[in-house]
Amino acid sequence: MVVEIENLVKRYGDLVALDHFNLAIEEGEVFGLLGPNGSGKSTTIHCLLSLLKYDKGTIRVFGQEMKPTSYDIKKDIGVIMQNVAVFDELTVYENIDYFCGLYIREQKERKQLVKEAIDFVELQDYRKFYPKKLSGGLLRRLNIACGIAHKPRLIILDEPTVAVDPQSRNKILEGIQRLNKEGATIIYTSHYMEEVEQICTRIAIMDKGKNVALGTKDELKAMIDLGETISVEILELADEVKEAVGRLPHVIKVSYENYLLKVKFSKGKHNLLRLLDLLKEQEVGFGGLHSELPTLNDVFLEITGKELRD
Amino acid sequence: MLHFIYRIKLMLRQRTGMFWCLLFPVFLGMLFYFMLGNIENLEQFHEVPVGILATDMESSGEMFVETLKSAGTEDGTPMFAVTEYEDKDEANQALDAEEINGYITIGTDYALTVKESDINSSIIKMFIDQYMQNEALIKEVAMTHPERVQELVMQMFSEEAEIKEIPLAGQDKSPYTQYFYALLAMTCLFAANVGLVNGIDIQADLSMVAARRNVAPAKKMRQVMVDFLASYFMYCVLATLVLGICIFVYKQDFGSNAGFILLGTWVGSFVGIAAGTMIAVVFKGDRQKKQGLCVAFFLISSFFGGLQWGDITYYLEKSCPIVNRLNPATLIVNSFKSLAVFGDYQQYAVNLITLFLIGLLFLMISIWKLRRTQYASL
Repeated sequence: MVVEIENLVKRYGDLVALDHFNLAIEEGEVFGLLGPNGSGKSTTIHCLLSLLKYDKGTIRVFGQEMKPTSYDIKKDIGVIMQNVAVFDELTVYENIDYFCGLYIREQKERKQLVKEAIDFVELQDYRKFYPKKLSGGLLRRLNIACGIAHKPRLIILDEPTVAVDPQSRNKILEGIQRLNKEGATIIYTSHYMEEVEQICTRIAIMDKGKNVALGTKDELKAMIDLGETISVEILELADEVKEAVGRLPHVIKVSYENYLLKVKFSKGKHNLLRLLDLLKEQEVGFGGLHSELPTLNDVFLEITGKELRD
Repeated sequence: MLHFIYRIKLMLRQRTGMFWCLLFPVFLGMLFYFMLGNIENLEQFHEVPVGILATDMESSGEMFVETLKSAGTEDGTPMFAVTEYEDKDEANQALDAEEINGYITIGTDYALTVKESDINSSIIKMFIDQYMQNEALIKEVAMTHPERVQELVMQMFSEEAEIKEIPLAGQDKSPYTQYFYALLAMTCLFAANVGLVNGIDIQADLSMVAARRNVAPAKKMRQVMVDFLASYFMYCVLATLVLGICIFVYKQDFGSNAGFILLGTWVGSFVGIAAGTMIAVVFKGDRQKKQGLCVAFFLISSFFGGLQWGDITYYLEKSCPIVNRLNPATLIVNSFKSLAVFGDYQQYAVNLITLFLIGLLFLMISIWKLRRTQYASL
């Protein structure tokens, strides 16, 4: 195991931020911590890094207990914080060199690693730029370079794509997958379910400091009844037809808003065919048609009764 | 060495910090130079032009003129520039033309004629009064006790010796150098801002950069010490620069004490940085609150040190002398004064050692607080 967290409890006064939280991450995984803001993702990361005091529980990294003085463990960890953590007074190159220097003392080796990190985040043209001159996306890439330049075995990314443009976001996600292919274990926290679905091999869903669900994205989706959601564009829909749709087999919920009929089905076959047959039979004309498989948001909704982005 | 160099780069590129640590003292020094330099020139003594109009020049009159001509300040500068006139019209013309401040008519008495009452006419008047008083005394003793005239004259000379100005042992000849001592003390205390930044940059609950540094395998104490030594080294360079500008550009003559004053600024800077670091580490609150505390430390220390109101140190010496013994600003200024004004090297050493120990205490407290710190919240 790369990371083992057992019965972790962290309180802020009366607020329980982590409530007997458990987690086990194996080597080579891209592990996603998914949850809404305030669910305890960042607190988990800060406790894992021994930055925060916690009230109860044990944390082991690479098989050893994690403490503030666990320097042997820390040298193999790379951290990309939620907020950009760089010096405004140092250039892109100098920032990466400075933070890499906290891990690697040998100058020649460090120089090569800094170059590789700059190439990795594609900041070659900005080496002499000061952070204030960089766009939000470029700044995030610098933040990542500072965290991974020393080639860590475990990389922790705490919401690295917040306030990032789509192009930079894709580059960041591609980069994380590349780091994983090169052998790093990744812990990725986010409240963007699409990102977690895209890159994570295993996911823990957090809510109110608890691990409410754990598994691969398919395993998580298999935990809920929802099979698919079919949306049909209809100009006018009579109440009788809507009720008839609701009586079809496996239908969980029917809604009609803004000329869009949305039908949620539980798992089952031929749901789309049955719906189309009914509309034809009732002589209802329709335009576009769209079928969606369940998302992690649906999983979260079914488990907690609220939207992931609430 | 890498982090030492980067810390220096960080410090040099922090414009606000550089303004307060270097440019502000230099500007203030320039202000002193232009304002106080002129006052000093104005207060230099110039001989008083005085005329003599002899209507009845007896032997005593000749003696008066000789005494007037020979009167001088301690460094040998004549007190009066004496011009003798034959008649009253000639003397009045010279007075109207402001060639002389007044003329003395020597007859049975010494009568002073002036155009207006000012400092120079007062000096002439005081001289005449003193001379007449002594002359009358000698005449009286000569009539009653002629054998004691010589003794009286000797006593007059010895009285003169008793009221002679005794210079202090220091080499400071300018009354305005003290403003530059205050300036140097202020520069030292500004180092607290540098220490504050060091303290904030190592605490994960105060800055994101610190969080990144805390998760690195580099030992925290090593990082704290490297930050401290780098900023201290750089600040010593800045303090030396400020002192150099005072000496070579603003022409402040610290005599052979310049080296000791430099050492004083280095020890003062040590205390300043240590105090700033301690404020950042010991007191709870966010960055703004700590910055406010740092400014408060600077203002209170410099106020009690007499940088704004010089007499406060005398009142504190009477009512609460411990403040003068422990307040960094007072210790810095007093170490300079003990050298430059009193030439007291022992007191200088005591002040500097006390300062150093205070700085060391601040630093130890900071290190003790930072050791293995984990935070309640980030």
